[in-house]
Amino acid sequence: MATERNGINADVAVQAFANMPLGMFIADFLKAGCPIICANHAFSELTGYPAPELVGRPCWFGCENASGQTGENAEALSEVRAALERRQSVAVILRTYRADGTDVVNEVTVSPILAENGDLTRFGAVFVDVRKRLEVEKELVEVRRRLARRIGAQTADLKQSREQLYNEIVERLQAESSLKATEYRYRSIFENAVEGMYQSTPDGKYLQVNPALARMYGYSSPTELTDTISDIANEVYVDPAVRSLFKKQIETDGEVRRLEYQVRRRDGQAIWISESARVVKSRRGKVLFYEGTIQDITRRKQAEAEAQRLERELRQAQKMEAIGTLAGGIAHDFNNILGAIIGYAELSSDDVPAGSEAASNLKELLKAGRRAKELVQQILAFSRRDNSERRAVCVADILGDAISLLRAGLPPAVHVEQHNRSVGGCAIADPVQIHQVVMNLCTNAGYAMREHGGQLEVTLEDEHVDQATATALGVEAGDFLKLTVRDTGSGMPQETMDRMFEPFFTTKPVGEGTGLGLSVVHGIVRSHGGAIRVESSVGAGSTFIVYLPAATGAGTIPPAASELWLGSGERVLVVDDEPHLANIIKQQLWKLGYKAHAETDPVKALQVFLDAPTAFDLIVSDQAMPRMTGVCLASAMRQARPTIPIIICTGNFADSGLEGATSRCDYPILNKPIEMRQLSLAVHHALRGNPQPET
Amino acid sequence: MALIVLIDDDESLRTMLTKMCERLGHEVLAESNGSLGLKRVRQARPQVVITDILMPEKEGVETIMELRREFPKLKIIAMSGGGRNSASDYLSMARKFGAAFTLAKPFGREELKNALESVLAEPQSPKP
Repeated sequence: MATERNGINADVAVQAFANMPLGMFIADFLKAGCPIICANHAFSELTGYPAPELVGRPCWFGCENASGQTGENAEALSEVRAALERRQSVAVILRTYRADGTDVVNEVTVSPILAENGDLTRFGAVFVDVRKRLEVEKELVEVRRRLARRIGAQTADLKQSREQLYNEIVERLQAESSLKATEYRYRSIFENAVEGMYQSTPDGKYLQVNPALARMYGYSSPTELTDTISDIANEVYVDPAVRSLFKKQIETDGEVRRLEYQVRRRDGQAIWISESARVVKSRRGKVLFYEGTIQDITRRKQAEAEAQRLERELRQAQKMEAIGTLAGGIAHDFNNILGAIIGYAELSSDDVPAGSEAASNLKELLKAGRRAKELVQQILAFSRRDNSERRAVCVADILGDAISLLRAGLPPAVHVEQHNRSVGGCAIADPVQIHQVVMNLCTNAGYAMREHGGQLEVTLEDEHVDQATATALGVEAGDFLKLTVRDTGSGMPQETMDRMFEPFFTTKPVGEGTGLGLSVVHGIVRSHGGAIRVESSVGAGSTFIVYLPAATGAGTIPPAASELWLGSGERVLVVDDEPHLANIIKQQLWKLGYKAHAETDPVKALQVFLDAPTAFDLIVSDQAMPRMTGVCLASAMRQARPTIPIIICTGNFADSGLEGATSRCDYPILNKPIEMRQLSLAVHHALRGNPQPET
Repeated sequence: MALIVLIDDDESLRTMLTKMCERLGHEVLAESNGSLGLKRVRQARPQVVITDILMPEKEGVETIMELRREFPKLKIIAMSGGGRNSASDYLSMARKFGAAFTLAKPFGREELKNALESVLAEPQSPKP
């Protein structure tokens, strides 16, 4: 009975060893060359040697090639030896050569067999033919290698793709950031532009507008504008027809350049704008929206209109000048001819029997001749330049007279309003001619309102005309009286306005007007160094504005008034307890070109003076006044301002206190009643430090 | 009845005024410009000269000035229908240079008669 070890029957183990399909041997470790102690059948087949021939052979005999070299196995064998010496198992790959010279590649597992005392005495080796496995493995390696290569290649592709992707992302991010910067820039331009900018739909809604446009249109914010307006044509355009024009042009040409038209602001005020816009279409050509810029050109338009008006007025002035020259030129001949006609008619009247037909005819001839004479005189009034009848006149008074005369002749439905806002109210003028100007203008106004009635407003104001306005009006700059005659009548079209001052131009039916009324007005106003301006629109009425040089400067003393000394706007304080007299002296002084202020209470007058002692250049005071005499007032004033010129007026020279005053030459005396000439002389001399003028 | 020298370049008017003056009982010598008028005055020594202002050759104001220098006592009536300036401008100038009376054309017989009576009634012509 075989011994059992570790529960395995020794016989079974031997049988298993012998029949194992894997080549196996057991070798003696202690002998040189480690000779094989036993080997199984499979090992015999593996080597090609019969089993009995194997025992005793050095165990690794099969590992030597034909020339007896271990060659490629040397390393593996050393490894085996080393493992055995460490009493460890090891698996190595060995190429073994068969008896017939062919070779086999084996995986050889070598395990130490220890004696009972633990010494290594033997070892076993198991051979597994691994050529196929190696081939497979080799192939596998190759496949792996190829796979790795492919993976490598694909990884490279992937890497490249990833890099590309990365670069793209970076680029996109950069683009996005740049786009954001650009967008910010454009948004900033949009938000902060001075010009209005917008996008709008073709049906008239704003998609977006910038703050400038909102401001221009009178809205507090762009949102307010876009929310409020839903129909641009009717809510923005003053003339909605212009919108159709705009749409037609933008959709035909794709754009509109500098289209100028009027729009209405939120507060109703109309402004002029210049618009440039383009149409934005989809790829299929459908109109998406309009976008454009808008500039407020109201100021430019106003300046243009003003320039046009000035040009028209200049042309008109030149035309009137030419007509005036012509009229003056022919007047001489006309008067000679009329002289002959009238004269001969008169001579002939003597020669024909009274009551005869010839006498009657001659009478008619004379009548016609005289009518012609009047006409010529009116034409001459139009071109007249003489100023022989001029003097300082109170235009307000003339106005009052003329209007009371006119009222009776005006249609009943015409309401007359008169405003006198002028402080001085005086002009150097021919009163008859000024009367004629007022009458003519007001009669025309009445005529314009004859059918429907209305309001006639006559206003007199003071106006300082600066150099620019003076140039436009064709007058010398300075102080003017501005007479405005405004009616709410039928108004005039531009064609009428262009010709209204021409002699014989009339819109009245034959027989109702000579066409000389406005020509005469024009002639008179121009000959006074004044100007006339007209504003009118059909259906809204007309306004005639007449400028007459105000009587302020001594340089404008007219020949007929040369005995009067005129002032240059010096300030005079008039004191008289009698209001009527105070007012008369004040009025007289204004007419003489002074700025007069009247007080009726001497105590108050003193207070006024003491409040501002340099506010007046001269004091004209009555002597006999309750509470304070003129002389008392004068000395009190002199205490505050010793050099102030003072004139004392008195109706009674023997009045107490005055003789002393005059003997000391303190104050010049004016005797009541005061005449204009005396007053002008006394004031003139007092202001120049000569207290006793020779009257 | 007075001797009058009438100076006017307008023939029609000259003839008419001559007739008018004659019918008022005066004798008239008519001339067509200032130079001829002056010659006639020197020769005929009239009491009255009626002269137009705007005339060719020698105009009225100049004629008046010369007449006034040579004949201080001569009575001069100036007449004018105006021109580039109004008749009153010319006539006031004529008055300044010594015309005793002025007539704005066109005038009628009554005005002429009044002017003549007026200057003839004056004892002496005014000093310039």
